[in-house]
Amino acid sequence: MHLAEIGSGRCTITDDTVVTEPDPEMSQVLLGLLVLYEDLSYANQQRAEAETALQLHAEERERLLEDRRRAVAARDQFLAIASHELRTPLATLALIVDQLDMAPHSTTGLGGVVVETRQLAMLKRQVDRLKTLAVEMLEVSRITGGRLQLSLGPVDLRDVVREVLDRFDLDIQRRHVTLTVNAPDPAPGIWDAARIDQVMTNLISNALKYGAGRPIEVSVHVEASQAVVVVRDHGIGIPEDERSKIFGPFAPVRTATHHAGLGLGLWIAQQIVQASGGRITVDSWPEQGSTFTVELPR
Amino acid sequence: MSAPHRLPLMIVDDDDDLREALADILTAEGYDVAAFGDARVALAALEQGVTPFLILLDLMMPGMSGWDFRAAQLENPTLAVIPVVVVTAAGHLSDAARTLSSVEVLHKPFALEILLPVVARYAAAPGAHPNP
Repeated sequence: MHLAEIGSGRCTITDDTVVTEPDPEMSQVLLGLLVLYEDLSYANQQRAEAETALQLHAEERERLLEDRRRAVAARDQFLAIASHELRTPLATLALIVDQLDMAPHSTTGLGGVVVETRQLAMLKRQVDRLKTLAVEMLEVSRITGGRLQLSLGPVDLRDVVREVLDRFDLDIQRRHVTLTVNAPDPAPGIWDAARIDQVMTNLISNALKYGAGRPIEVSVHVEASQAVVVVRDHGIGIPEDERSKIFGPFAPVRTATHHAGLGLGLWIAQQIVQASGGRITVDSWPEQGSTFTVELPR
Repeated sequence: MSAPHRLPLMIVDDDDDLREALADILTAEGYDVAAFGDARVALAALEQGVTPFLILLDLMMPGMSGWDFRAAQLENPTLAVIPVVVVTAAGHLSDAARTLSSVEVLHKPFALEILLPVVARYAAAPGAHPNP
């Protein structure tokens, strides 16, 4: 016979029997332990369920993110393909229009068809619009794919602005718009001239497009560590609720019934300015016009 | 209109209208133009002795692509010296195009004022425009 004592309880063990004398205190402890064990089991079960739910949530989130990545990639791929497909017919159109434009007379003939100067100018403008759209479509996939590369070199911002304005000269005349330039000093810096040209072209083009034929002011000046271009129009302006969206890709096109476009120009401009270490901002009120400010570090 | 050139200018582009427009314009500029819509036919013409002073080469063509054409051209030492300017609508392909052994790239759509000086430069290169 063996005797074992647990706490104040007694346990008598013979060859074939175990006789226990329960200890109330120990029973309470054991009961407590049992309850604790059940609580722990329940908590563990709850935790496992929560972990499973979290895991499912994370998987769902990852799946949604993956769907979004795929959708964006598909969009960009579509834009790249569409841009590519547009470029060949555009190349033909542009070459023929250029060829007609190089003819020495005010009217010119090709295959017996006489094209008036006015019609030719219209053709050129439309071809240029199509070119811009095709280029913008390509730029989306280039920028979102991280392929926006800058070729930096010494640039005078004032010269870039002047060159852009020269290119718009006919358009400015056609719209009878008064455009004043205030650029008293050179504004040298190290930038990508072609890309900065692209930004300025977009801003001037917008000012003409949305300027309602009212005067446009352009200024270029140099501050301590940066060069600043301001393009101000007095046109239709941008409603407050749209102001924060205009630098987004596929921005809502202002008064969409009239001004067509992909809504990519300002987004591309912002991407270029930011890649150049600068910033572009807008101040605008409906029917009072818009002021775009580009600051580029020198 | 420029003076006629003795060596032809080769255009290889599968787009009929673009090829025709380029041929019309460059013929009007005084160049002797040999235009091909199929790169294999163009390559065969080179192998049969047509020696252009410049090849304007599209890249994305059915059958033999511009890359394949250029690779075959470079394999033949006689043909390899003929300069090539790639004319492409593919914006992302400029790097790929440059791997085609130092060729220039014109991106479609390009202005006539961009194209003509490029062609004129190759026409004026030594050996491209032998004395009549």
